Amino acid sequence: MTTGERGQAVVSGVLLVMILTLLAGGIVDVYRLQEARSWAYRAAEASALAGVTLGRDLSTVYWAGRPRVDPAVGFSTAEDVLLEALVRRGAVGAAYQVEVLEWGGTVAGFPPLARADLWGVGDWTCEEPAVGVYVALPIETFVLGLAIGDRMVTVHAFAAAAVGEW
Amino acid sequence: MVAPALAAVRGEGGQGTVEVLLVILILALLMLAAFGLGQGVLLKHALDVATEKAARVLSVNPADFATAEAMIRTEVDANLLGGGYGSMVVIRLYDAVTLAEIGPGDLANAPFGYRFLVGAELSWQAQVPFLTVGRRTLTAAHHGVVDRIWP
Repeated sequence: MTTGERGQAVVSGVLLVMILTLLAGGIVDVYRLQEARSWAYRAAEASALAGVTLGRDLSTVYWAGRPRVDPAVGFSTAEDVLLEALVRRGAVGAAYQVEVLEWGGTVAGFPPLARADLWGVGDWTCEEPAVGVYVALPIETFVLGLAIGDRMVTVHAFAAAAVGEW
Repeated sequence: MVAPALAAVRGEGGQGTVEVLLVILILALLMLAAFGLGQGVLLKHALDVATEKAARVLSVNPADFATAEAMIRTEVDANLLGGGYGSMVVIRLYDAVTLAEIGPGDLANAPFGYRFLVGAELSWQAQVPFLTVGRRTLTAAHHGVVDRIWP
């Protein structure tokens, strides 16, 4: 009996180290996803801000009493900034959608995934002229991928910027 | 009664303790390594947040590079694990379209709508006992648009 217990601590230790290694791998995955989502939010925000800044049209104040966002300029600027950011990051397989509210209003079903929005709202509504940007970024995982059966996990982010009226 | 006596003769009495100590040593190393790498995660996050804030400041006032620079260094210094890395951050400005490096003076004179990047780099090495981890450069960049009508 006594000789049969030799090395027991080593076995349990090896098991513990294996569990901790898996745990560490999971934590690394979570960090990668969190970092990617945080980056996607910042990229979406920068794109929306650029779109609304360059697309801002104050000339309409004279005849409509309020500013607007030029849909073509707002869209292309936001798209350009987002694509540049994706290239700089080396992101592969990313999907995106840019919407412009020329005078404000609602875009139903945008962002396509409600949880992309920090507030989880599915229909984007803004009273002011605005640009909204949605990004979906696939991220390769290791341990989490083994658990959920798919190594690629997609993070979703949505950000919007509007022309303030005062 | 015979088996324990034999074990004692063979000197195996403290084997379990030694094994446990070995395991604890390995776990302690893992914990310290995690702590060391965690600092890198916090520094990267600080750089991300700092460049975002700096880009916004420079969008509104492109001539105020000093404030943007101080903001980045303060944000990095304020990371949870400290370390005084703020002064080691290298801050650069780039043209967002060509990616050519520009100076604070170029940005100060940039017209409305000029697109730029605020970049921050920090050379960092994880401190892991008994292990030499290579030095890495943590980087972050954020996009900004000059949103000032003059000059």
